[in-house]
Amino acid sequence: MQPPAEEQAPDRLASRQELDRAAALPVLLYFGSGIAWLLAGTLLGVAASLKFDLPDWLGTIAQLTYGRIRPAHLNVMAYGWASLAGAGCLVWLTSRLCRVPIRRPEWLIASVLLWNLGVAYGALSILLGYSQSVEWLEYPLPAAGIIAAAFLLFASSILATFRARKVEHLYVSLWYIMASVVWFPPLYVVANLPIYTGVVHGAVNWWYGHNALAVWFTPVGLTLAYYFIPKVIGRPIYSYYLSLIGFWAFALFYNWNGIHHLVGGPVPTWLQTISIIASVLMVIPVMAVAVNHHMTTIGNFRMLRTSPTLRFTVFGAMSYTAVSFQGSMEALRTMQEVVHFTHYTVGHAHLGVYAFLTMILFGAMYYITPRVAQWNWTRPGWIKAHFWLSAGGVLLYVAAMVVGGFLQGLAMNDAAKPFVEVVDLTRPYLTARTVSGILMGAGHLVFALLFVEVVLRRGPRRLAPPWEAGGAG
Amino acid sequence: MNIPPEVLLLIGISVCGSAVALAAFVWAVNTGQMDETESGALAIFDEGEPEGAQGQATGTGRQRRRSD
Repeated sequence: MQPPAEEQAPDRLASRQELDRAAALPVLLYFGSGIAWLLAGTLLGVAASLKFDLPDWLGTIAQLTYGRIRPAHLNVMAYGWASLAGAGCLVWLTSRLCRVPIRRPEWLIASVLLWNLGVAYGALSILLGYSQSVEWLEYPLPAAGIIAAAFLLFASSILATFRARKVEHLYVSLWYIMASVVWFPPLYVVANLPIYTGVVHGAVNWWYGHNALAVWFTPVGLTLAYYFIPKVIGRPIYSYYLSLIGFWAFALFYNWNGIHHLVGGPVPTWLQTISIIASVLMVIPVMAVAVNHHMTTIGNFRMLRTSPTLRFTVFGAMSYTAVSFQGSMEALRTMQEVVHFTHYTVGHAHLGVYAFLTMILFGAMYYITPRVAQWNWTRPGWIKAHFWLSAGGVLLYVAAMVVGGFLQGLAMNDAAKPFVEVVDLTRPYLTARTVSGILMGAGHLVFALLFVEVVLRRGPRRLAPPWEAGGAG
Repeated sequence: MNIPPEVLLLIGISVCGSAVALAAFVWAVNTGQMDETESGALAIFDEGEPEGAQGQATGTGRQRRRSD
């Protein structure tokens, strides 16, 4: 038996609790507002999906037509939920990995307020009809400017903490965090500049669209997986060497991928070919991550039953492998001929942003929240329900969209088939999508209630809370 | 050849981004971040939360520790 941590190393424990206390307010603000946007975004997403089943529903209210609520859903989920929850996780993790209290916490609080303002401003603008009509960049300039300022405040706090670090060696997670905070701000600012026209605008659109995944959303998910899988299991990452190769290959190949969204479009063919090659080369860093996480977890799969953090994180890490291989294949011209402009792509997007990123964010929040709130989760059954609703929901979503989208693509390539037959063909799959959205939404509601309960310190205080014990969550 | 100014801007930004990556890589090699990869993997553990201490399970009502 391992002795209780208090007797074993009082200094280290005190310092870990200090770190959590210093980060508590900003982290909980990031998490709380992230979860609020998750609920709002779910509502928009389910409503958008429901319009395929009931085409006349809300059809007479311009602000609630499909063309507005779908981009509002995307932006609220990306810049509201995933970005705010991710930023909160990175604040906490940077402090842990640098072993110093987070620097400039007041800048972080300002960042949360601005960020929420920007997301709300942008979402309302889209609903009122002031969208920029460029996917992932729909927010009008003032909203984008506010979000950029919020991100810079966040980045400056992370960089200040990094510079004050008390460690010699930078753990692989820190590499991903640093890459995000250094590369995402210039990317976001440059892509939002109102100077592009024509084909260049299309190229910039997808250069941004894919690099937002490359330098922000994916690194957030990977950095958390690289920390929490070995941490919770209590076993170092299988091959640290491989993780470094993975990081540098990722940095080298990922930023070329964006133009694969324009295969068959009016951009130069050589540009499309380079992008397809780079998309396939992504197999290298993805294999590195997949092998590493699998070999670290192997032999400890029973822990998936007892640790919610590990259950969500491992589900997310497996989805990362799946979505990446799917993406590499999807970039090929033969595949594009079938799946371009179909629901298949929508399935791919949700496998990435939900099954990979969102599930890992849930896992990280299950670990971080009780430590910063100094109050443990109270309802194990609810946590299980949240996992199965989210996991089951997204698996149904992806299966329906991938199968339905592929059949839709084949049918659309058949010139003899009337378009309305293709629409009819997709209907059962779209109904399955609405059902899956409702399942995930129920999971989000459960998670939100659990979060509120922990933050308000309601419910019975549990034995051996995680911030006192030696282990992880 | 007539290259539009916004394309020059994009090329410039890309070159800067790559330069940052190259500088970070050179820095990492020179400061020994690429050596000692075995100890690097242990950076997430310490005396209070050592290697081998399995995670206490939040949300299950049970506590799991390795009993060796």
